[in-house]
Amino acid sequence: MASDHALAVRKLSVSYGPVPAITDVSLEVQSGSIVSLIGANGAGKSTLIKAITGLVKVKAGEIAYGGKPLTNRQPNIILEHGIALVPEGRRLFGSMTVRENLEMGAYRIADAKKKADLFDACLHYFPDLKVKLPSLANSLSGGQQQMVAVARALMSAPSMLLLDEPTIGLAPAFVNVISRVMRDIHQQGVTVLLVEQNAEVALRVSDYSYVLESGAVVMHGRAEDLLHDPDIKKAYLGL
Amino acid sequence: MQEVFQLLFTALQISAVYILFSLGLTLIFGVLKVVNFAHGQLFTFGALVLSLTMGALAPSLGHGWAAYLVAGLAGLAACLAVGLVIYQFGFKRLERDMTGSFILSAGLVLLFEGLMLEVFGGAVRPVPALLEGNVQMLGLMVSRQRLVLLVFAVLLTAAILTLLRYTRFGKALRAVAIDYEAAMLQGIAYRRIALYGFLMACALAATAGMLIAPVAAVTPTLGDAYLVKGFIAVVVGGMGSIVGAVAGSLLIALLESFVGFYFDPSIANLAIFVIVMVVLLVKPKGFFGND
Repeated sequence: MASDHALAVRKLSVSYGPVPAITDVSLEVQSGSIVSLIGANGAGKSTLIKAITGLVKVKAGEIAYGGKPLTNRQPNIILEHGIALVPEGRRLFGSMTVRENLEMGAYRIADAKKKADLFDACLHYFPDLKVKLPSLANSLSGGQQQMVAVARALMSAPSMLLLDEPTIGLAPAFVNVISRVMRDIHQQGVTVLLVEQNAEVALRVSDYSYVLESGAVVMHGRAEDLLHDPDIKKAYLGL
Repeated sequence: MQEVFQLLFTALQISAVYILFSLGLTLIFGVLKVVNFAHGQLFTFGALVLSLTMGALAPSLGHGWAAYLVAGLAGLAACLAVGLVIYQFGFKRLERDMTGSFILSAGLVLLFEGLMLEVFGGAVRPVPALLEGNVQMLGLMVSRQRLVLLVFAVLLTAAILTLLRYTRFGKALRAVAIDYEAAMLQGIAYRRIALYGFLMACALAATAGMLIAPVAAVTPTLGDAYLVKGFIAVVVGGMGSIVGAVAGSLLIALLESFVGFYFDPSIANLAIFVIVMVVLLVKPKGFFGND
C-alpha cells in the first residue's frame, strides 16, 4: 500500500500516565505531498508529531516510513531515516550562535562539500539570516528564530519535514516567508507534514488534511474539499 | 605590592585545581542534569592511586618524570574504570532524576570513603616532590613544582575549553546540555555523548587530584574539601555554565587566599559561605546561569 518514503501511522495510541492523549489514530502521508493536521488546542496534534519523531513513547500501534518500522525508536535514529522535525516552540540552542545551530542540524552529515551546499541552500531560503550567523540564537526575534529552526531542520537534508505550529505567534510577513519556503522545499520533492492551529493557512498550503478532535481523527480528505466543508467552516474557519 | 602578587599567584594556583574540579561537575550536570556528589572521591582515588603507583615504581624508575607519567596514567585508567562502572550501573539509570542521583551519589561517597580507608589506610601517603627548589619570577619566589602544576592545569583547562567551543563533539555536548531532546532531533546520539561527558569529568577529577597530590596531604578524605569548594564555585558561577565554573573557581580561590592572609583561614571559609548566600539571594541561578 505505502509507496517509497511514505509515512504510515496505524492505530496509534499514546497516553501520558493514565491519561490517553491520542487513541487509534491512523494516517498516511504520500511521498511528495503536503499533508496538514488541524484541530483545536489539546486535540493531540503535537502528541502525534512527538510520537512519530520518537519524543514520546507509543503505547499501541505502528509507525512506518518507506516501509521500515520506526515505532518507539530514538529521535536520532528516526532522523537517520530522513524525517526531520521543526519542533513546537522552536527549541533552538539558545546560547549557541545561529551558525552553530545550523551546524548541529547537519550533525550526521560527514561530507564537508554536502554540508557547505546545504548551508548555502538554507541561506538562500532565508537571506535575512546571513547577517545573524554570529549572533546567539536567543538574541533573535521570534520570527527570525523560527527561520533558524526551519533552516536547522533542512540542514539534515530530510526527505520528509514535520513542522509543529511553525507560524504560531508570528507576524504575517514571517508567516509568508515560512509558507513560501514550505512550498519551495515541497517542489524539490520533500514531503511535508504540517501541524497548524490556523486551519485556514493549513488547508490553503496542503494537498490533504486530517482533522483531530479529542485524540482521534474525526475527518480527513483533500484540503480543497475540507476548505469548503460546512462543518469545518463552522468549527475551524470561523465562518 | 609584592604581597598582593604573591597572593594572586597562590589564588591562581588554587583556582586551577578548583576549575578542573568544577568543570567536571559542570559537564556531568550538563549531560545528565544531576549533581555527582561522589566527584570528590574520584579526585581522591586518583591521588591515592598515583601515590601507590609511585611507591611501587620507586625502585625501578625513581621519582622522575617517567615515574610520574606512568603513575599518572595508572591513576587516570583506574578512575575511568570506576567512572564507567558507576555510570553504567548507576547514573545512566538516574539521568534527570535529582532525588535518585542525590541518594546514589551520597551512598557512593560513603562507600568509596570506606573502601579507600580499608584499602589505602588512613595515614598520609606522601607523594614525592616532582621538582625541587624555587624560581624568581616577577619579584616572587615560586616553587618550581607549583609552577609546573599551575602551567599544566592552565593548559588542560584551555584544552577543555577549546574542545567544548570548537569541536563537533564539544558542540554536541553543549547542545545536549541545553536541550537533549532537541539535540537528539538533530541526530546526536544523546546516550553516547552523556557517557563520554561523564568519563571526561571523571578524567578531570582524577587529573586534578593527581596535580594536587605532590603538594597536599594525600589521605582518603583529600577530596572532601575540594568537593565543597568546587560545588560552591559551580553554584556561584551558575549551574551548567562553563564560564561560570571558571569564574566561580577564581572567585573562591581569591577569597580564600586574600581573606585567609589578611584575616584568617576560618574567616575565609565564612566569607565563601556568605558569598554563596548573597549570590543565591540576589541571583538564584548564579552569575552565568541562564539556560
